[in-house]
Amino acid sequence: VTAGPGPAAVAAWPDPKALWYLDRAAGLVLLVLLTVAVALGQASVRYGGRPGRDRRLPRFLAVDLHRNAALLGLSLLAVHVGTAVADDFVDITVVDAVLPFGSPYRPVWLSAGTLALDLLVAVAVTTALRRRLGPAGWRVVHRSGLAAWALAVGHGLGTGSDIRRPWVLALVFGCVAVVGAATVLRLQSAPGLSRGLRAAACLLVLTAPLVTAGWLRAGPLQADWGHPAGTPAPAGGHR
Amino acid sequence: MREAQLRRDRARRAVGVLTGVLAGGSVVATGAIVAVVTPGDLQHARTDPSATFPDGHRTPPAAVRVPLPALPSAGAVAPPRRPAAAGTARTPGRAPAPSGRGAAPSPAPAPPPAPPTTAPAPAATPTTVPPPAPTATGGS
Repeated sequence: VTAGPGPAAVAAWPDPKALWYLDRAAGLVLLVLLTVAVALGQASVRYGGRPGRDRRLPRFLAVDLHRNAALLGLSLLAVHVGTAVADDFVDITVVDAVLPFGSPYRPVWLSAGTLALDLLVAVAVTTALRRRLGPAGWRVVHRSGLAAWALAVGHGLGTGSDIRRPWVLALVFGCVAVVGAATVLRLQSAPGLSRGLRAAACLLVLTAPLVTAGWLRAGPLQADWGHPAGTPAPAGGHR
Repeated sequence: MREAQLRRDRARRAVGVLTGVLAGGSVVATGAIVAVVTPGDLQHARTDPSATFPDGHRTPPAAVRVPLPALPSAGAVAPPRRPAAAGTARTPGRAPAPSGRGAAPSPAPAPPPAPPTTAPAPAATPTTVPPPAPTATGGS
């Protein structure tokens, strides 16, 4: 870190931090794309699924757009990770981007993103190999896409440099609301779940945002969140 | 048969359009966020250099706060703008005097431990004559 750049240096726009800003922006848009993909995926199970089920959602929306949104998300994920690694404003190596708990920079929250990346890659690979894997194996891995989305939200809130901006908070909670609603709808038609279990799962989905909001107030929205989050001191080695 | 084919084509086109909207929207949104976020950060960085630390948060973490006192010394580049100011010029270390005692006690950085009572004598000197000698002695 260059401690205290002069005003002139700060004002110059092709800024040395350009990649850092691009990384942050790509992360936010990526969350929206993942939300679209996950919500469509959840909805497709209930509305666009097999014959005999409610098929209010056209197949092209349920399956094709879900797939395309996910692929777009993956390409933006490549931008997000690539810029994070290429940028030297924060010390993140390729290995840190793939293996959790390797980076000294906000290890827990960065690892949430790393795990999300790993899961998403696993989902993509197993989808490409779906015919070889068979539906059962594919489905097990594919369901972890929801976990990847949740980890991505945690990564964004915990590491998120922009989370104190009201519009970013609104965006994240909007994404949470969309996926939460889609998940509740899906749970209601999930086969093999007892009524009580279904209600408990729905309650969990609905209360998660409230718990998250409480944690946000106590943590990431506090002014000195950088320290508890694990930002190393400048001498510790960024740049 | 043909109708099914038509429907399939229409669906494919719809998927293409929606995917294009998603892709274009993503690029535009990313650019717009960079355009919105960056000026905000830079604006903030102008007023608070600590804002440029990589956590991107408004306030640096406690660990980072330690080196900040060094920044005024970087700001010491600015003070030379007023070299003419005689006795008060050497403020970089702790410019804001503990309590505003008025203008007279300018030799606040005065001698080490006790001489506050004896200080009045040097304090008088600045008012008496402008010559450089008295203030020069004030600075060690």
